[in-house]
Amino acid sequence: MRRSARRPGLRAVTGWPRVGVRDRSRRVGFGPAARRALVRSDAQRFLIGASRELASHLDPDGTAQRAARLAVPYLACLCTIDLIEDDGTIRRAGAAHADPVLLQEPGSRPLDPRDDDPIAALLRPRGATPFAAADEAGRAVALDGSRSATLGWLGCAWGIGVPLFDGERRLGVMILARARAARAPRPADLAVADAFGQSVALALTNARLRQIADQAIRTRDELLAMAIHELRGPAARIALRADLLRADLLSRSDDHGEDPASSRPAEGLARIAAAAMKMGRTIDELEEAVTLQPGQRPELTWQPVDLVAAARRAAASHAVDADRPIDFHADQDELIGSWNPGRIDRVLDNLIGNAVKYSPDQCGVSVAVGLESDDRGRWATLTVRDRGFGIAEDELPHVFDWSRRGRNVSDRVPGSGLGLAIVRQIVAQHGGTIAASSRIDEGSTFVVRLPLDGAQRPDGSATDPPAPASDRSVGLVEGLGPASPVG
Amino acid sequence: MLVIEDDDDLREAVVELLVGRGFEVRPVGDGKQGLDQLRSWRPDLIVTDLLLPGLDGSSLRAAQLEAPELAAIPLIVVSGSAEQHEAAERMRPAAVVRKPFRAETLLSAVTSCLRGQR
Repeated sequence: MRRSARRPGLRAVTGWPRVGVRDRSRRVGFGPAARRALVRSDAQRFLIGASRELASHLDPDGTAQRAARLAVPYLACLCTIDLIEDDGTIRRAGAAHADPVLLQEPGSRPLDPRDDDPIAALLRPRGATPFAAADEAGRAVALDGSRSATLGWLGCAWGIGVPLFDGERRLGVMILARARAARAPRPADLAVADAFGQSVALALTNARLRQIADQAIRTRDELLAMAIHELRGPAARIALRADLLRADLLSRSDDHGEDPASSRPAEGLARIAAAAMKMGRTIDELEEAVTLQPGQRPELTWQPVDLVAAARRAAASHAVDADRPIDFHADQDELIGSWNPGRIDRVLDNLIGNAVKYSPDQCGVSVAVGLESDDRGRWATLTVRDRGFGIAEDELPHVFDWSRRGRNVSDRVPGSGLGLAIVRQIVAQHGGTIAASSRIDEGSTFVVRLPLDGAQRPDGSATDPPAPASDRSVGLVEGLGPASPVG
Repeated sequence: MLVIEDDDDLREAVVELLVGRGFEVRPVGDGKQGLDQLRSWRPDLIVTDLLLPGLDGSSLRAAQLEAPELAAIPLIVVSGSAEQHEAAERMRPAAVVRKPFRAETLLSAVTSCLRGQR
């Protein structure tokens, strides 16, 4: 360090003071220890750079091809990467040569587990194995196992076979080969090859898992979309057909003296229609859950919505449906924000519906709308409170998770567990926050804050709205970020 | 009134409901047939599904609004999903009825729509 300070242009070898210095073009003043240290730090730089580079490739073939190109010329003049396919064949996924003219067309062939299959032989060890061009393994670079296009033919004197593992699973083999003029591999070369092989294997595993996950998500969404579409039609037919039959029944039994609507068949048909409607609501929830998943970017239109009017309407509608009073309170005559009306109605419907559903008939449900301001702007607040079953303290942090239902209600109240997750996603899309507080057998309170000035909305800015400063909130305070799908 | 619905069972049930209340109904299974009917007949009301084979509800509505003699006929959209809801609203319908629906829901949409027209 002292020398580099005195002589501009020279610098100490990082982390290895007093063993040597180098200038920009050539190395000076080395003993063997200094040279080893330099090689080691070069190798480390290469490995770190390679790991970073490989992490950015998302499909296995892109990863393999990039890895082969990275290896040439730093590690080898020729690099091939052959991957084992699900059907047991071996396929060349990546290849690079200092002289691209000499590269074979990528191909594939069945993997022969016999001893004399050169690739099978290189897959067997756990670590990097050196071999000479004249060895049997020298044929491995020729994917067809032919004796032409071997390492020697490709101008190489020796190679290192690096089996690629994901845990115990064999992914394939990487061959690193050097030109005739190069020296024979040493233990340090094998160590670097092994370390590079581990980076490649990790990147390939990640790429493969990513591919599997993407495929699984696509399949799930396609199946759900199909189920949603196929179930809605029959639900509509059942509801309407049951109503028609019931009307028919009522018109025929007019003369019998008793109230026809209370007859067993008429009541049964009414229940069938109600059940079909319930099925329709579940289908709606499923559909919204799918469109609100990460990766889905539903186009939302923003329109002026009066939260006071929307909340009053929703509270009144639930009061009629449930035949019980719901308190409504608003500090303002109106609170108009630029929101998506359908989604805001869904938030109100789910929160008020839950409050009614999870509290016994005689317990009060209240809905309040208010206004808050902070340094980020003005916020409309919606507070929905019930005095019902409540949520256990350990379950409160998970109350907005998909398909999560409380232990204390899952047996006594039917539900899909999607409602609050949908609410959270919608609130996030609007750049708002939602907080829940609750005590078992005392009830739950949900506070939603929606930005009144467009700037806080995700497409207005990338800023994260602050968590609500509410002293009522004894449980989770969820601060939700910009609405790019949260996952 | 003109009823356009590709689901045969649902179309039959809707027709049964409306005919039972004394309406004259012409049912068809897709948008093109619907448009063909409108060439020679002026219903008081159109009840249409949104997603239809061939010509869908939105295109049917656009074609209807382009023809001056048809533009005034009110339309009720029967929409499948929440995602379709916004598309349905863009059609400037007299009402949107979500599937599944109760008989009373469709009837009250039909009657209030016809009442508004008079």
